Amino acid sequence: MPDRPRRPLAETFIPLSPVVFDILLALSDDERHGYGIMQEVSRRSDGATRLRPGSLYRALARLVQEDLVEESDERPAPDLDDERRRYYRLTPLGQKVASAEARRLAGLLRAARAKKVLKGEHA
Amino acid sequence: MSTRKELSERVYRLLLLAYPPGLRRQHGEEMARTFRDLCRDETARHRHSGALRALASSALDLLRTAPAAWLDTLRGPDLRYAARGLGQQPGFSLVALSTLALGIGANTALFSVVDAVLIRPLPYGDPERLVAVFDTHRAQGRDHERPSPGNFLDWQEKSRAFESMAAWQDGSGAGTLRADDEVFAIETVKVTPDFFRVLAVPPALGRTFTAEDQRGAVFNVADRYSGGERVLVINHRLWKTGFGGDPGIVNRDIDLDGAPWRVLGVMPESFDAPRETTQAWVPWDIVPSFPVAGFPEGPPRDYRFLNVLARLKQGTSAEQAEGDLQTLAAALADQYPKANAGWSIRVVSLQEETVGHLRPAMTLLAGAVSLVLLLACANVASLQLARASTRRREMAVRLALGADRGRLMRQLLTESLLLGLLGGLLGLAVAQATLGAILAAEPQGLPRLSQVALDGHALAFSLALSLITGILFGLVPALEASRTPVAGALQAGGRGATAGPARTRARRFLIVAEVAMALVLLTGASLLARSFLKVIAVDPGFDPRDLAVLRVSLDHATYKTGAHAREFYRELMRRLAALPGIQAVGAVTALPLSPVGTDFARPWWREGEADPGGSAPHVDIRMVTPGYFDAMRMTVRRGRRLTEADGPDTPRVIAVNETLAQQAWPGREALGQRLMLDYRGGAYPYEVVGIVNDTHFRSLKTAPRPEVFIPHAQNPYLDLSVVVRSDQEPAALLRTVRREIRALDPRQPIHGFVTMDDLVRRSVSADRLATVLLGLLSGLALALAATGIYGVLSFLVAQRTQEIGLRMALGATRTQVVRLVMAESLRLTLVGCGAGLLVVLGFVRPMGRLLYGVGPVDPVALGGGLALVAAVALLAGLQPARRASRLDPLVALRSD
Repeated sequence: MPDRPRRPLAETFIPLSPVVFDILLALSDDERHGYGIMQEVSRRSDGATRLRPGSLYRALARLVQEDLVEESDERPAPDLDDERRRYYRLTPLGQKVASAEARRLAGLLRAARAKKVLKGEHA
Repeated sequence: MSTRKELSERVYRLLLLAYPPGLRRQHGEEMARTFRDLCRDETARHRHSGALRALASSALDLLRTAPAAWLDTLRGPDLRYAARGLGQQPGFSLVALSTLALGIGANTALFSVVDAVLIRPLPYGDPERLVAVFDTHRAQGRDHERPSPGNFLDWQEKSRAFESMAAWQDGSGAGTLRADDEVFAIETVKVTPDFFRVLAVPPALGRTFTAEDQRGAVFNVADRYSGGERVLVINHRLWKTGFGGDPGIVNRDIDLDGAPWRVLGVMPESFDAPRETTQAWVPWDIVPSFPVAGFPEGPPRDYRFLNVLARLKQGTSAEQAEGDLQTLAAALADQYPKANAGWSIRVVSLQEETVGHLRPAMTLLAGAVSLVLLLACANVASLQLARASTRRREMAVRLALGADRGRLMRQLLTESLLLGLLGGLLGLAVAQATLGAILAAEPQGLPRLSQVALDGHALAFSLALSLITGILFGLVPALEASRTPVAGALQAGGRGATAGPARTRARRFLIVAEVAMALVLLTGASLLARSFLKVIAVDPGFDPRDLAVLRVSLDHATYKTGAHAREFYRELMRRLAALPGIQAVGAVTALPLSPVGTDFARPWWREGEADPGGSAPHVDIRMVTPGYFDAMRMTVRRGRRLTEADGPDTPRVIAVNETLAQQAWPGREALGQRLMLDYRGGAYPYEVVGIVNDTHFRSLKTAPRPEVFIPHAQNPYLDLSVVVRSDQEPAALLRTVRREIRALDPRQPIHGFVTMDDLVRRSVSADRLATVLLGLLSGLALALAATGIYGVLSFLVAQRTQEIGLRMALGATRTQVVRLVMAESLRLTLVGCGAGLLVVLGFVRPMGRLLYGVGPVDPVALGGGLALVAAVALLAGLQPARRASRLDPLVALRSD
């Protein structure tokens, strides 16, 4: 009985919503707990993108369900307090999806440069 | 500081309840923890407001994500699984989807009609405070009469219940507008100062009237403007069509009836008061108007022809206002007994006045269409049940493998919701097609029909309907599947010899309900159909075939006196009668079944009797040219026709209809008698020279009223409806008639060209539409019920295969098996018919109001409905019964 659908190709997830891509990027170099993801996203965007718990966990729930992200374990965060936190990391599929999205965005950026849409430092 | 953080966290934990339980269970604790982290860091940055900032931004985020998270619960694997499930059984999906599409589509279409016509508030400011005021006279059985100008002025001055009050006059009729060499007949209405203030609608352009504009705006006896400044407000359509939407129209002079009128403003497109056909409003100063219009004593109290609108004071109810006015009316009756004895007042909400009369028919159709949807749901539920029983094993396996029952249920519900939504989507196409057909029928008497469309309201309605139906027909199968006993289903391998008493009971209930609903609809439809046949079989009192109708409106400026109008029409009649191919021609102030015309009633009594004052009965008065009766093919029962010889200098003569003759001189000869008519500022005797047959004037359904016909030459009017009897094709005839009128006077417009057949057809179009719609719905219901019965019986037979095999093995004959199944079907049908009959009898009274010439407990309709439903139900059971009888007992006994 084919209850579980066939493992989808990375491309079927593309394009990603900005929140999802932010989360995948934040997890691309290290496993993090929820607040760690929020901090990382905020740091990398110089405070321009600020996730809040609702958006974060709604996205995480779907990412886990779609098998792009998995829970690693629960442990205290050394830089915070003694409480245990749930850590998340990318699955191999998640990594593929993140690079597929990055490739898509890079392609767009190339096209934008060729059309001279960009000015200044990005050109 | 820490208390603030704790408080924020507690609030946030409460807010988390807005998320679906799944997400909360899995991530709720982490979310709260993350929020605490956020709070801590924010507080470090903003000492005092940190916790609040964290809470505010998180709450905002929650507002956005909570609905999305709920939607997520429908997505994902459940939805994929549901879609795959439907795809795997295309037969089931096709039948279920088309059933739902029909049900939801029919409902959506009818909803958009009901919404636009009945529910949507009138397009005026604060419409719930708007009322219409009517005179009532209980002894004369009148409950909806127009008030008189004299009384209106008193109410306006003395009543405390209203913020403002206004009157307008019907039949101020058409004006002739000339713009850019084109001549239009436009419908104008005279309104008193507060008209636009009562309705509280600002103009789209310019301004509306002030008391200043109104002062001295006087109309004389020929309804000709004879005083005051000539100003008017025009409607949006006239502005567009007549003046190309020129934004500079305000303060421009336009040529109306040969005189310059200054345009003060343009009303917005949605403004349709007092009628959709009104194109311009002119100010009217009542008090000084009447002395010039033949009422030297001022506004009369016994001429009832005003339309009165009012705006209730904030916090005053229509009932309170009615009480207030009734007290006033009683005082006025004491003060002016001749005009007001016996008269009282009714206050009706304007919405009710505009659309209330449509409510019974609309409610009937809405009820019918909901029944069809229920039938559709019952059918799909029964399909789902049948399907569920084949999937019992699958469910049992999944349960055995540890699937969560709640999750299984959710999956089945997702499937139903998906079916419902897809059905709703297809239903929109059905609704669009249905609406197109309804609008194409152009039913008369349905106001605001132009606003009927599949708009946001209708879309929201069909979405809600899709979800509700999805849950309605999905809930039972879902509950049942979730109760599947794992062990039993697996062991029996779906072989459960019979499906268990609870389930078969549910199926039998479905049959009973379907039969009952089909019977209710069918009886209703045949009652309406019989009523409609009776209506169109009514003899209107004239012959509508080969009769063309048009309205001629002479302008007041050119035709200053009655003699001018008399000469114009005499010459027009002469010219038209002389044309080849025209058999007869006539003209009248108001034509039966026509929406245009000068239709009014006046008091009468027999000559020699005292003027009975306020209690005098009224008679409808029409001016006719000599050829009118012949052109209409009305019959002069006794006496003579009105002729050319009846002119301004000969004695006043009239023809009366049989109803009046009977009413005025019961059992005596009316011919040669003299009737007193209180008309045009004085009572004079008129000699009855002819008695003609009755006609149905307002509608075929309303009984003929007393009528008097006065020779037009003795009492000339400017606007007449011309009737031409000819076998020529209508378009060619129109060209001929137009040429003749142009030859007489090229500046007079003609309008409203139509055939009398069309007028008759239009007058019954609302009845026809209701009949056709209910007929279609009951046909649909019958088909749904038949397929439903067929499906359930087939299923029951399949369930009893083993039992039937056993019976046959024990010697039962085929006939006995057929009888066994048919007996079951017959029993259920009878119970269903009984239930349906009870419902029908429960609706006798509301139904009776919609019928003409048929009682609500009509044996033909009831018997026919019963016979048809029973026959169809039994036929639907025949095939399953035959299949049962053809079973091979050996195979049946082994069957799984």
